[in-house]
Amino acid sequence: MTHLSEVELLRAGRDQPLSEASRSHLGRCEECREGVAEVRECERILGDPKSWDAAAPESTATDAIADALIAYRNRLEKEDADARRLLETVGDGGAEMLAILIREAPEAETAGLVRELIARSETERERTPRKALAWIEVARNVAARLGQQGLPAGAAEHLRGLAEKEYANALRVLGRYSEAFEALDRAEAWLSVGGAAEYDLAIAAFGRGILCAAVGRSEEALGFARSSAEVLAEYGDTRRAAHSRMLEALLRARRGELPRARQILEELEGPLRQDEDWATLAALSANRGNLALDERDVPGAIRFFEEAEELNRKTGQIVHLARADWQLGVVLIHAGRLDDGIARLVRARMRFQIQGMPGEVAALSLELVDAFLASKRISEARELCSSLPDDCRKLGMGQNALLALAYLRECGEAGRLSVHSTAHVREYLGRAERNPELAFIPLPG
Amino acid sequence: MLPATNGTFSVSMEVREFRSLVDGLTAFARARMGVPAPVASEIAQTVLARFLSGRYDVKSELAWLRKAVARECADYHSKLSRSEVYMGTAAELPDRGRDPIPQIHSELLAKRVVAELPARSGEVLRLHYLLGFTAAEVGERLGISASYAENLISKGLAEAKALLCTKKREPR
Repeated sequence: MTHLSEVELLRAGRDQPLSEASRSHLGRCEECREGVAEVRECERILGDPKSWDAAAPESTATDAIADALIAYRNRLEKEDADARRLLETVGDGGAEMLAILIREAPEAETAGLVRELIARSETERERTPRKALAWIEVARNVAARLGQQGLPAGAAEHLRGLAEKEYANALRVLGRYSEAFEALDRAEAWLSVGGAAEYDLAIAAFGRGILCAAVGRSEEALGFARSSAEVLAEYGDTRRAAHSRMLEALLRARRGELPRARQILEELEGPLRQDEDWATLAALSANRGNLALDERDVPGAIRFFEEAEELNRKTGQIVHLARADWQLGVVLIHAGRLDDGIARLVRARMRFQIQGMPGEVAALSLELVDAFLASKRISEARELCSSLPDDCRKLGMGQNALLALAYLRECGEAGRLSVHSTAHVREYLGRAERNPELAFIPLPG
Repeated sequence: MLPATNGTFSVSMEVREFRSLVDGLTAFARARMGVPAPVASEIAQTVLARFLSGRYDVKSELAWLRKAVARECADYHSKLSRSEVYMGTAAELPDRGRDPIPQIHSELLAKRVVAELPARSGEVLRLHYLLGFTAAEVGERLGISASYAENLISKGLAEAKALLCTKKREPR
């Protein structure tokens, strides 16, 4: 049996006339029918525009991609600059003013504005979490309204995911954990769109680990800490990978696995020093200080907290510097070095005051009042309570929290100041941080 | 493989350097990770766009890009191998609508066939099949006779068929 020639197969596939013999053979021969089907498949492929998408000569295709990416980069640079100018205009008006401005000028709602707002929220998260939340809420709204026009595939969704992730962080700092979990769910869904998502999802997993740790779901937190550390290290993000490992160490310490926790923290030191990542080293020292306390090694804790303080000073991380001073002050007081500890706390309080952080000023002041009471320096305790409401009012503290501080002042004036009254106010302030509308009720009597 | 940029990648790169970066990442995806050229380009584009949007603060941007490209290539291979499993056991699977993976594979195969056609055949077939030119119109456009254009179309189609058969036999 002679099969059809290539020319005859092509003719048959293109529905051109065939000889009777060829037609008859085709009816009997499955192999030739397959050949004809292949010709028809080729015709279908060649007629489909999608097949020709990337068929330009390779150098031309690469150039087109590079040109599109350069255009996107330039667009982002311009939008970032415009957004920075807009945020300067807003000044002290804050997120509310910004929301009004962009309602009047919707063209300001750009990818660049979302990026700038995410960065601003991230910067302010530690210092002023409420403001950070307000900024990121605007970012979420803008991101949700971003069109696809002019953006690479998946870019709008990516920005939406990044905004949701930062929203989850701000909610976590404010103790709104269940909302933070929901925001993280949304973040992960948006970040998964469009490919190349593994890195962002690892950062989100780290955030989920911190959240789980905060609500006592330590086993889950440990899993997220370990998996995120691995991926982040693979992407060369040594800083975030180190933070994930520090979270793992914290969780292991909580489970009483103190030697393993110490080992993890010790392993981190070398690479961070090699990278000269002083900011992360400062966080590492603070964590080692806390672990030393768990191990009842007070001199070790003091040494690590001093190291953290030094590194934070070196890197100009004022808020962290104040926190290191705070930790060190508390340790020194518990070690019986009251005067040294109080001096640290006074310095930390001043730093928080300069940074405009009323919550921290109030909490530290309570710590100081307790220390003054313990060292029988009653007049200093009274003096501090007397100035506290005014100091915090100037920093913008809410009315209900100020009432709690005024109660403390009254206690001082009436000679009723005690660790019970400071504990009562401290407990209230902790709850008011999550719910500013909560009314303060003084202790009976 | 990747352009020499002293280990740094900057969003303020010159146009020429940027092109060289796209080239490098595409070549890395093709030669080292074994994905077809059109897919490699798409992956390089996706990864770079993601990097530009994300303002990532990492020690080595190039290391980040390579890792992301490698991961995307691995995902591509994994999707293709899953498609074979799916097709083999389709009868046992619950009906969840049309499985997109065989479709993806078929589209990629088509792109690879078209991309590897000789330039002359590619041009003739593009005019005839994509733009719908008759053989006479193709001839007019290229300054050749209608019958010669018809011959070129047949020759090009034969080349496409041969490529399709070869590609189908290649391991995915």
